[in-house]
Amino acid sequence: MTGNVNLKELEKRAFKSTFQDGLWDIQLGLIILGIALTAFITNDYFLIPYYAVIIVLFIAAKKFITVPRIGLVKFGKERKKSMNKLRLILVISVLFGLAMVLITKRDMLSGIIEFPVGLIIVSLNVLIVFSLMAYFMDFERLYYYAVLVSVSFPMAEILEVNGLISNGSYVFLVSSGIMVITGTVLLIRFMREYSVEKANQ
Amino acid sequence: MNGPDKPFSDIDKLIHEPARLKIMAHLYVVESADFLFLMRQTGLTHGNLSAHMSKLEAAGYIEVEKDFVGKKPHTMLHLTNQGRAAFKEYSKKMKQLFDDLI
Repeated sequence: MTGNVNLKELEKRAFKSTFQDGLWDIQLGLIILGIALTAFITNDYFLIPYYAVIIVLFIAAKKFITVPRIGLVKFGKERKKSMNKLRLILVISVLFGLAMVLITKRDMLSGIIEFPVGLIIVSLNVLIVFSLMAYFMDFERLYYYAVLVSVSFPMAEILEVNGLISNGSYVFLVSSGIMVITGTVLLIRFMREYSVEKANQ
Repeated sequence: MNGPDKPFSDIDKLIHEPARLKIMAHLYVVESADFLFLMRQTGLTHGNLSAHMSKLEAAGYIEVEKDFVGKKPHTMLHLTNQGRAAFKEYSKKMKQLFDDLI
């Protein structure tokens, strides 16, 4: 039994090593930054190319920064299954998010539910999705980000309604900043620890 | 060999060597990995890993797949069915051995 546990730990450690580069932190931070940018950019559709660029940059960074430093690995069936579950959750979450945006844009909720209810739903959606990502990816930092981002939604509303800040989106600048800075520190540390020169020796 | 030494002599000595045990264990928990990934995970040097890999490959425990990542040639390593079975058997025998000793 102990043998099984240790092999599981070994697999978990190998999997975790593929995201010690901080790129996930930076990517998620930049995604949240997109919400903050809506305060400065009036065209809502800018988020589509913005998110597309983030995803392309993430894939390129994995290919040109991470893989040359720690190598390439294909994980077993169990890990693939849990990653497929995660993908399904993310697709459902994105569809749910889009539906919420559509409903809010068309004002379909007016008279049915009050705005704070929508806010709570979005906040809970973020909390659940980030926590599930953390669980399926064995990525503990994501639990903190789950709390940080989900709290940002009601915080933004409270601060804006009470006139403490001119636009609630500024709150997301703080949460995204924390994530991007954490990721950048981890990325620098990763690049120092695993140099390409050492990998080629 | 019979008698009290039999359980010890039954242990697969090729796997029992610490560096090779590390390599086998790491390859057992994944589908396949490249040379660099194994080097990082096991903490072995290039030369050391290469030497142990050759022994494991000669025994038929690991297989080397050569493919291309973009235009660059890339070598992935994975345990063969024989290697997987040998590792399972090794861990079973070691567990049994320690159970009997205590």
